[in-house]
Amino acid sequence: MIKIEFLFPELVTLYGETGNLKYLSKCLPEARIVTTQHGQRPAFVDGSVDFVYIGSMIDNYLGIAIRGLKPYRYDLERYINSGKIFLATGNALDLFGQYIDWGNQEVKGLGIFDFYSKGNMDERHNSWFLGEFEDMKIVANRSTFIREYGGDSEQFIRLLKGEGMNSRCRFDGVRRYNFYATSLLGPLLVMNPPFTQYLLDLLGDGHTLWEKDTAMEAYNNRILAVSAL
Amino acid sequence: MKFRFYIALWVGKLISWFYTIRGRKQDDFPGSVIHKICPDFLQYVHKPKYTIAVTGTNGKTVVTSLLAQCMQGMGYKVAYNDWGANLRSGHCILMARSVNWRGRPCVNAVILEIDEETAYENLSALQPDCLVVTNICRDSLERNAHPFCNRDRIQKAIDSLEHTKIVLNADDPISCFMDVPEDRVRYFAIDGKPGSQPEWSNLHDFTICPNCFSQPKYLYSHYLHFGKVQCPVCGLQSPDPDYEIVHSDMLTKQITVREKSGIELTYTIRSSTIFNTFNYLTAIACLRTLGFNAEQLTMHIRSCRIPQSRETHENAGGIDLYTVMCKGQAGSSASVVFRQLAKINKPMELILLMNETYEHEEQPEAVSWLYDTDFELLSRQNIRRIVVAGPVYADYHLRLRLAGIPESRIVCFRDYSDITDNMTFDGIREIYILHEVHRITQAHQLRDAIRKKLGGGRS
Repeated sequence: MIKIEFLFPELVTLYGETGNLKYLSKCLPEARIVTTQHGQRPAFVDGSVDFVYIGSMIDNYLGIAIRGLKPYRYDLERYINSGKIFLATGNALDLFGQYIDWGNQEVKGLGIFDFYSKGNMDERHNSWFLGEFEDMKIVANRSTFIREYGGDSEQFIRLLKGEGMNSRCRFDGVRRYNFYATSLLGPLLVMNPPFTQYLLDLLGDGHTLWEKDTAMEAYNNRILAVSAL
Repeated sequence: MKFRFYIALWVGKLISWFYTIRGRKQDDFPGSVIHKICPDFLQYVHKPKYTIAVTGTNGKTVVTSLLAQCMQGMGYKVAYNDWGANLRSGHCILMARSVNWRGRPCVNAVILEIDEETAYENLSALQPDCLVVTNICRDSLERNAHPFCNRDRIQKAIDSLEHTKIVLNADDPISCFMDVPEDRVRYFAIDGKPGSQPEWSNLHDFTICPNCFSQPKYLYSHYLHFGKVQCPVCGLQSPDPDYEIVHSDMLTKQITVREKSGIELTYTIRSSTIFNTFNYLTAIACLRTLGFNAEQLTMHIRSCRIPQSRETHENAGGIDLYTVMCKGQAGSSASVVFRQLAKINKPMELILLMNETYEHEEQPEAVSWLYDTDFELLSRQNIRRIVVAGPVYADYHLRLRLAGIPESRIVCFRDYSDITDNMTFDGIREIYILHEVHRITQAHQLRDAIRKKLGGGRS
């Protein structure tokens, strides 16, 4: 049975990102979703998980999430190196970098990737993003107080339209094996059915998209709209 | 500075007069001119006897309107922007209209709706007599979406106030724990059923204690994150209210408010929904905080109506036809409306006009809020059809399917004009048009077209 771990649901409450899990559970009706709250031992530590998801949270909570994962940093690296799936969306990306610089305060990250983040609560960045990953178009929003710098050696999505992790960056997110972290947010898996199918294929043969036609229609309409910007 | 102020006032008044005779009174352009000429206009303009500011995520416009109606009923001359205009240019034109050409107040009270995102710059300049914070919920993606960001902005605004009395919602755990001077704050609340817990929702805005990050406990819950909370670890608890609804009868629409002094007063209101009950209570708490006579208030609150832009109702050809404002892009407002609809057992049809409005209709629209919104509440059998239209119709379609709504009950159109052409009314007793803030005209036009099709006149 496929096991999906949802990390810190009490912190990850924003931008409709639970839609990712709703959609996954429709595509994988036999899968079991387990939740881990901060302060609890994550299920991925035991290696019994096939897919880990963490999404956006209130920026003040990033430190709590980092503290929750720090004791399991090496287990997390082992999990990533084993090739199992990990997806982080929105500002959850910032957990995995070197540090988050808030100007008057620096929060040390998990240090798994070599990028760093700069945050400013007075400057919100909102934009649409169109990119490409393995010949698939990825389309989503970004809405954040944080921008990321560096991380060039492990790029995730190549920029086609919009902005990358910062205004000069030509990509978004980081990838290592099947660890995918992106600053794009929202119900990314619902909005990008080809990428979801790609992840489903990684979980084994025979998994198909739920309501594929409708999902693809919405996706194609969105790509057209964002391309025309 | 005085010179600039008067130039700004006169130019603003002149443009405003010109706009008014051209039928464009509800345009805050003159306000932006005033601000351009005199950036400190709000600071220097003479304030009338009462300056009341209303901020928060939901309910600002309704509370502003209730306050204005009530004060007008009591004989006060009140200035307020009945069309919203809750940014600086709207405040500038409102304040300019509240003084004469010599800059002297020509009204007794000004009621300003303040956008929470820009609360600091406006409130610090205005220094109102009373600031009301209705509640804080998550807002749209483009407006920072997470509620604690808005809370921090309002907190910063409160920190800048020197003498303002502050009225807070004790049943909103996001705003009630803000740091406010004890002698200047009053709280309001609705007594809840002891032990009631938050109902299922996709929205979870208060999940950890702001003090110690433990899981808080609800002593009672109203809806969404609203209720009385206590942290079992650090002991943080919602403040005791100064104005509390201790009894409400939704049939007679009467509420009994107990004040901290012990007196109990019964008010008749004109809505039976929980969120509008909060709106009425907010207005009562504000006016009592400012020292208005309680007996007089009970007499005048009963004639205060919820603004027509929020909801309309008529019967056409035997079908009840409603238009209800339902903010898009932020799941909290829509979810509250859906929860209310889910309590109605009559066969009904819903038409969703909740898309964001853009200059170009085809501009991409963020759809993440659809997954914050409790569409699952619409899966009840008595909701016979849900009609959606607009550029992101396929996203609505997928969301409704994910919410467990059968394909046979979902009708999607790319063009809004297709809605009326494809209406069927078999077995339907009620039609609800749920519309976004900026789609009032479109919703009313659709309602009129449906009425025509039903062969009904206004009733």
